[in-house]
Amino acid sequence: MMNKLKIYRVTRNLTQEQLADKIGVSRQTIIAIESSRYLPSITLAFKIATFFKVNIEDIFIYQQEENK
Amino acid sequence: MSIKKYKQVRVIAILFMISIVTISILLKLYLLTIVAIFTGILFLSLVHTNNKNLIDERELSIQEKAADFTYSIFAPTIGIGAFLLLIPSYSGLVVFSNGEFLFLESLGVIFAYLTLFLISLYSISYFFLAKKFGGKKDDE
Repeated sequence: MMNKLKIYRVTRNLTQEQLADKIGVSRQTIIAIESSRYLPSITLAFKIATFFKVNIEDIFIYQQEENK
Repeated sequence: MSIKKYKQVRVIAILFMISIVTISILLKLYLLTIVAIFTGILFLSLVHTNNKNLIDERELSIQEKAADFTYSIFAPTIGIGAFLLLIPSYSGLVVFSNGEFLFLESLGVIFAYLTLFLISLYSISYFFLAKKFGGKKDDE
């Protein structure tokens, strides 16, 4: 699973801290998601997508090869 | 309260509790130690209850993994420990049946019961959580 969270965040001129506060998670979580070290729950993924007013699949890209 | 503030409050409360406990131990005021510990636990649990939604999901995930890791190491360790401590006592070797090594048998028994308690606790927790999150077989 890869994501474009950093791109969306930078486009909105938000720092990791600001985004974390708005979504209700820690800055470490944002860092971990951006670097693909942590997969967010579906609730958090929805929160992020709703915040940026896009669909989940616009930010999080599922890669089929992972399950093979 | 934001997550950052919640963590800061938690750290300050823990540091305050540690300092009071240290001072009371140094002054040999053991009642104060107990009061400080209970007050600290009460305060932290109140803060935790009022800010349940502020616990970060990544942190929860880490806690789950850490708990699982701890259980998978601790349970076999004390289980094997109990077994190893009880072998000499039941092997018929006189040297382990009395004298200064007698405590080994007691320690082995304690470890064995501790292992049973741990496994029972895990099984009960697992059963209730599976029921809570898994649904029943006839649910469709």
